[in-house]
Amino acid sequence: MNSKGFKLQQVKIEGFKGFTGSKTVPINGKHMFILGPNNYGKSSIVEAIRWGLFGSTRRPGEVVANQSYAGDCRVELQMEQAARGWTLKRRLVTGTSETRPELLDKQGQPHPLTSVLPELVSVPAGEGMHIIGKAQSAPLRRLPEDVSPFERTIYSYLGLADVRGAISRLEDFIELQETTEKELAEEVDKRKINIESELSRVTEQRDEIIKNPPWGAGSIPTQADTISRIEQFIKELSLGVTAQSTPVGGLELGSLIREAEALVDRVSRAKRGDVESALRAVLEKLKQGQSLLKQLSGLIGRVGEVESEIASTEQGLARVLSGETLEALAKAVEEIERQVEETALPLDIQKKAHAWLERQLHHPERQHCPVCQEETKSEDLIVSLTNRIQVASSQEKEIVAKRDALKHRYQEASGLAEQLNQLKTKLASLQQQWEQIKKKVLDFLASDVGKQDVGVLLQGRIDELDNARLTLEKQLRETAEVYQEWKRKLGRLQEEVRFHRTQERLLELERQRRQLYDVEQLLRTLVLFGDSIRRITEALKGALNNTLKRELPGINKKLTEAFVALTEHPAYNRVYIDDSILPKLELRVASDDDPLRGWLPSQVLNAQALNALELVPYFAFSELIDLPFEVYLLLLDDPTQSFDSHHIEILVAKLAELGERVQLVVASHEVGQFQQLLPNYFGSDDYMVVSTTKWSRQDGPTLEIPHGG
Amino acid sequence: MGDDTHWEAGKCLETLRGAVGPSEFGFRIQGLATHILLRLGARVLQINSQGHPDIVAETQRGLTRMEVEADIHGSCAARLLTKEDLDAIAPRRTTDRGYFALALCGPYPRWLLIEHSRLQRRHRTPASPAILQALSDVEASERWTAEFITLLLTHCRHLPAYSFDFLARQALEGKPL
Repeated sequence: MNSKGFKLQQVKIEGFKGFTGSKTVPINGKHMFILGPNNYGKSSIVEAIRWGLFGSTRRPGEVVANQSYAGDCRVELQMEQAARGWTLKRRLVTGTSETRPELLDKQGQPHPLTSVLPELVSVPAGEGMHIIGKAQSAPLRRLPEDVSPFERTIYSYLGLADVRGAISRLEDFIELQETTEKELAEEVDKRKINIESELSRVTEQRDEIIKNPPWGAGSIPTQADTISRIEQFIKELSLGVTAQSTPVGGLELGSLIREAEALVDRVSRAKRGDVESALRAVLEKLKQGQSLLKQLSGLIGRVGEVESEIASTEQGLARVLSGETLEALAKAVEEIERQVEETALPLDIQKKAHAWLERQLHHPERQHCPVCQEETKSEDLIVSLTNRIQVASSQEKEIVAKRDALKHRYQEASGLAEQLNQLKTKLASLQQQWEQIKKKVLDFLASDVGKQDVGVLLQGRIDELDNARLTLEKQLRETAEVYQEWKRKLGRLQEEVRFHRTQERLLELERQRRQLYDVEQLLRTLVLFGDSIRRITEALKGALNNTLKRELPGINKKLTEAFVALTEHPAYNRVYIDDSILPKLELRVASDDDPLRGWLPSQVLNAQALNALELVPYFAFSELIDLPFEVYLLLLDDPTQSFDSHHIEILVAKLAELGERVQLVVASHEVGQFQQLLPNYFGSDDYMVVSTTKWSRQDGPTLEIPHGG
Repeated sequence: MGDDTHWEAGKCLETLRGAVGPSEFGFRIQGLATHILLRLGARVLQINSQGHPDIVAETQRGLTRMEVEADIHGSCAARLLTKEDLDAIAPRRTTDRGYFALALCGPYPRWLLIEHSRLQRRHRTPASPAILQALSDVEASERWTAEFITLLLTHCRHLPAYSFDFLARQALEGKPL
């Protein structure tokens, strides 16, 4: 067996996969065959060695800690090289999938893993030629035609693994570079369009301002010019304001124009406010005066009317009384009434009854007379009364007529006397009202008017107020015009400020464009660098393919020899690498009967031959290597799946050949076959058998290890 | 040449674009490209309104073959150059040159000239304007841009009236605008 590499002396396993409490398997640098039925923990030992060495598992993300075991998950490998002992400890950090390796020398001194076993940290499990780990086949997970171990092995054998790796990494880099390049380019394009559109828009705005320059015919003002103009404007505006003017020195353009805007607004409001307030007062006074005048005029009119009525009524009364008094007239009426009662009562009654009947409705039906109770018609009664009145004496008629005339005069005189009284009462009331209004007018005029006519004075004051209204209204219009003029001036200044703003924005956009230009230069570097990498990759691929094409015939020969020896296949006796898809190396099988055709192994081989094919690279290339590495160990987990007895023997024979140069760790469920074959092919001191005889969840696998194993 | 002149030239181009349809605009740009070549001292030998390459010209160094395209500002469209496009401009002799010429017709017009050798590995991947700019021949692009701006500003008012046929005929007869 190879004496240069490391050899496994012992493996100690705790809490790993099927293992619970710590168990030690002494190996002593021999080949180890782990034999036992399936599910008794054989694979856990092979996997523990792989994990102990590399810290990685056969499948990414695989859980290695025994979930039923509360203790640590750890593996400890004792190795020896040139009489120097090393212990490699690996422990799973609780709650993570990370591991902490620790390499100790025989004295227990720690050493960096990279300085003693650099290969272990630079390659993943199973890769490279120094360690070959063949995983147990899992047909559902790994396709039979998955021949990547071939590819890896062949590249290693040809010393081109670095080149192949470099191409792979360069391709990864190119992929990343293309993504980055695309993202950056999209961003650059987007920003460029935004900046240029904005530049175009702002330039147009600026040119529009220049077309109708707010600064007039002069040259384009600087910001300092505009600041000075705004300050001057503020100063002029502040002169007309009684309030203290705002100090504006040192303000920047934006603040200054805002100050001017505020000032125009404030001054305008103040000026308009004064005039408006005065106008409101005048209008109010005017309204009050006009109301008083209206009341006064109305009252004067009504007094005149009443006085005129009084005069007219007094004249009427005097005419009716004709020099008598009303009381004398009343006595005369009483006297003549008595005379009527004495001399002409029937006639009086008849006349009254006649008058009464004349006022009543004439009914065609007969009615009872209210006096005699005889049934008669009212027409008949009227006629009867008329006849009676006509036949009365002239004396009776005269006295009744005289009484009627006197009574009528008295009633007329009484009515006029009553009317006169009412008119006088009304006049007195009007005079009272006059006094009240006069007092209001005097209050309104707020001055002693002496004996002057208040109406005239009031009219004069109203005229004064109306003049004041006109003046204020004119002032208000003038103020509005002044305000408009300020606004126009302010508008021009605002436009100047807008001009400077567009200029600033243009400068800012130019700055952004320069920054973008820098990014464009970086993108250019990135793109051109990417192109260089592509050229290098293509050149490497070309060179690699040329080398592969040169070397493949020799490799194919070796693969074929190993395949034939392992399988003794009756139909397919040739194995080769398809050179049409280089640098990918894909295995084909062929037959001498049809030398021009090749098949994918899965298309034509049975399970036994496919399993054997997976072992081919280990046998084909192990013979060719001068073992330049620290460890050379072949881990095979159940390599004889689907093998018949004959092929198992072939495999054991080949393993014995391989065992001359490699330390073997082989797990198999073919217990009887191996126990029978091993003594035939291996020296008794060169190997040991570990039997897995039982497995339980609490105790893990039960191992039978030969004494001194 | 300052940005203001670029911007003015951009307005001329915008007017032209408003006057003709997108397809005709592309032809006009191709026609104007031949006059840029004339201004740069080349002799225009061939102008193809259909087929490849778009333009063949003779310079002091040898033949130049060109594919010409116009990018309307804001499209930001990535361009997929076909194998035919690239084969059409591939140099046949060491003295030959082949360019893909892209006119970026935004507010600030400019040309990007990308040599055939730079595009060889990109005929399967769409390339955005920024990528094409990164791949471009800076000096040639700047020369073309400068001549283009002058051309646009000089003939701004007449541009809509210059048909593709007119531009092509003048160019083939060696009569610069």
